[in-house]
Amino acid sequence: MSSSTPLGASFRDPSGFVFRREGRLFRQVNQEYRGHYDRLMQGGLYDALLTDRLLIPHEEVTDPPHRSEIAYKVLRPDLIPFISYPYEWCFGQLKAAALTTLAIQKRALEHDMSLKDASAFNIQFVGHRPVFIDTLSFESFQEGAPWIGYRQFCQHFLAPLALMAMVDIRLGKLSRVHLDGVPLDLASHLLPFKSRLRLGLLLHLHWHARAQGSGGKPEETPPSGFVKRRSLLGILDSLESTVNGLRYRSGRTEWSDYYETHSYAPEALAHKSRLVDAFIDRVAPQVVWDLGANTGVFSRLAARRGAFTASFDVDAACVEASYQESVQQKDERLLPLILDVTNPSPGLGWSHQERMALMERGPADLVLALGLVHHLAIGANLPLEHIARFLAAIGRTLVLEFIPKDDVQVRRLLRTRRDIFSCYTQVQLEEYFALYFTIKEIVPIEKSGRILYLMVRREPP
Amino acid sequence: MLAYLDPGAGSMALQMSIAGVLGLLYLVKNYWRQLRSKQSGG
Repeated sequence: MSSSTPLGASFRDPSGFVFRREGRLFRQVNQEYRGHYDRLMQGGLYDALLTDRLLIPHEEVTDPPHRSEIAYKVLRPDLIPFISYPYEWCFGQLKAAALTTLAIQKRALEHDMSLKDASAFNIQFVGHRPVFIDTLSFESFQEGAPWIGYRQFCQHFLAPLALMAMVDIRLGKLSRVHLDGVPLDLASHLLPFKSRLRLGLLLHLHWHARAQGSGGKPEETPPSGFVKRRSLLGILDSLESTVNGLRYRSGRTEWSDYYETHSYAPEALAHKSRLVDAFIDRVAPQVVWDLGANTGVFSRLAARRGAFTASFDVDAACVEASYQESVQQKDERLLPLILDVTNPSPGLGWSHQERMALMERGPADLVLALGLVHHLAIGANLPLEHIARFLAAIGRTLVLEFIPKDDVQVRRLLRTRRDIFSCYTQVQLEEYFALYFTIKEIVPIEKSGRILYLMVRREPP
Repeated sequence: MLAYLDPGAGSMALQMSIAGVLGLLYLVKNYWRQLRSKQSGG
């Protein structure tokens, strides 16, 4: 029998786990989860969640389980085109994920089931659309029990959303450090006094933080009491209105109005678009990564041609604007994400294997690096060879834009610093990139000194 | 009932103490919604 490997993130819940065999993804359901699984499938909840496209569909298959001695069933879930994580989402995405989790919990209660966790990692995005991926998170509801996922919901969703909305949008990055959600005492400490004037934040964050601080002595029995179903719905309703009440305050950032304020000649922009479009057409990629995508103007060319496109930018305001556009257009092929190319998401969690590094999620069929290289080479002092090596590691083909030193964008970067970048020339760029790529096309962009390349990665011998 | 994740003793206790009030608010909100929809419907 061929070997199978369980995924690094799938070990906490004894109900089952995800494993990979011959490049295919399976989910094993364990015997101990049998009753809950049957209820999910036969009690109508699975169908209801699928009708609303809230849960990832799966099929039961006869493939052998990874651990047959404890197995009940093997499932084959639909695949998510690109796995993303909460610390890569903009405010709007985290908010949509939070509301989806609450909607699922309400729907579960209607079918006498309940979510036994509320991890933000259980949500993935198919373009603009959040979808719940952990089929084994549902358990039979016990009348009178409080919501087990309440603590996790507040830490994974409410705390970072409140901090992003009321303190600083960049605090979304706290989720990268705190994988089980932002500690509530930290959130409570950082939030301004006015957050206490909102009932939801007062109860679910500030009081919650205090209640956690006085969580009882280890020898004491856990708190017991009967929570009426109406009260549980009341808690969910309160969480929902608290999340809905948090809004992203859009402010202008360095990049959010780039195309309006930067002196791109209209002819140059039009010619660049035509070239990029033609290159995408020629490569016919299934998956595209656009690095430094801004609000996703060029990413959308790829998405329109049918490629699933991850559109990365470091600027939260750009990603937010791009996400809102995706929502309006109901675009399921474009996924805007926050990413700093000079410090991409690393492997995180236990053994560095719970959350994948960016590189592990590739390679993409095509990488777009437009208006990016000068930021890396000059803005971040990265040698051209390092840039070429990185781009070859993450994509099979590359569309690259070179912006020469006399361009206003590069002059802007050099305005206040010594020019130590004698290597930053077209000739050197082509030399270094030729170590990793075969250069297929070199086309000057009209009405600008810029050059667009199409390159194909050299496969190792 | 014990969960596979620690739901947090403090988090459970807080839920129990705020459940009554939030349940009541939910009830009032729903009555209000129904009343409004009846009024706008009639």
